[in-house]
Amino acid sequence: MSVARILVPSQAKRGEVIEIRIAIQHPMETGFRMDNNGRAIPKNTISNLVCRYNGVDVFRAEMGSGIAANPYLQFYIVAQESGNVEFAWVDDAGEKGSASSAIQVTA
Amino acid sequence: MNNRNNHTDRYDGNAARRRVLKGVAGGVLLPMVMPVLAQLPPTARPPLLELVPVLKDITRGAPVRESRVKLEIPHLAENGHLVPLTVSVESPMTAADHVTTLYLLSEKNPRPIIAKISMAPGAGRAALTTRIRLAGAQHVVAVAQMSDGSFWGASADVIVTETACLDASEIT
Repeated sequence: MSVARILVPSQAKRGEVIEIRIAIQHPMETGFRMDNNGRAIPKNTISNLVCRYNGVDVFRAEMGSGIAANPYLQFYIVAQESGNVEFAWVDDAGEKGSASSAIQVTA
Repeated sequence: MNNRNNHTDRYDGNAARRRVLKGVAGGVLLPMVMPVLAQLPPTARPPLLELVPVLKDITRGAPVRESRVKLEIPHLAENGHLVPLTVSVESPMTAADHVTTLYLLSEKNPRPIIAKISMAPGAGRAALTTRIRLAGAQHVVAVAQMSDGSFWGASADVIVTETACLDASEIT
């Protein structure tokens, strides 16, 4: 089960560039590590993450083993309409996660 | 009066000593330093394609110009498991001119593509902050593809004191 923390400003002015942050609890297994019995731990990273703002894709990340455990991403979007900033991701094991936050846009 | 003369004498002596020291510094130290300086190439960084051959598959032969992309990463990273990194690209991020894809590439990680980020014109600012793993001291390369298909990139070298054991060969 992935736990994520996202930070989206709750209010913004129309046209304002806002900062979006997300941190997901995930080991981002590289596939190069061994467990205590010497067996390889299979690679398991969040291969696909998408951020939608009112249903429109604004940001997409394909992450490999080069991204540190508990991946953290910080990027920007322009506030246009009130609505939701939604995240959805899937890891190599097929486990899905999502998070969303509402934003109110004032003129 | 006598006292004052003594003072002047002492100062003169100091000046003479300074002149001798300057002569030593200029005459002896400079020739020693100059060859070393000459060997250090001015901000020399190998071409991006040499650092990350995988770039060839991404650009498919298109040139990558080393401009517009700014890569901020600590020069000395204590822990390779967690290296903070910020990439920003000079782009108006309008529908006509924006960054479509941003690649983070590593010189020595077993998987050279760290991340592939897709951006949309509605981003407002083409910037990304994240934390990466690095298997040893190496160059990190960021390459941005613009909406007109052009590629822009930047590289930075990072010294990693404790490597992220990404490769099984490094554990032994």
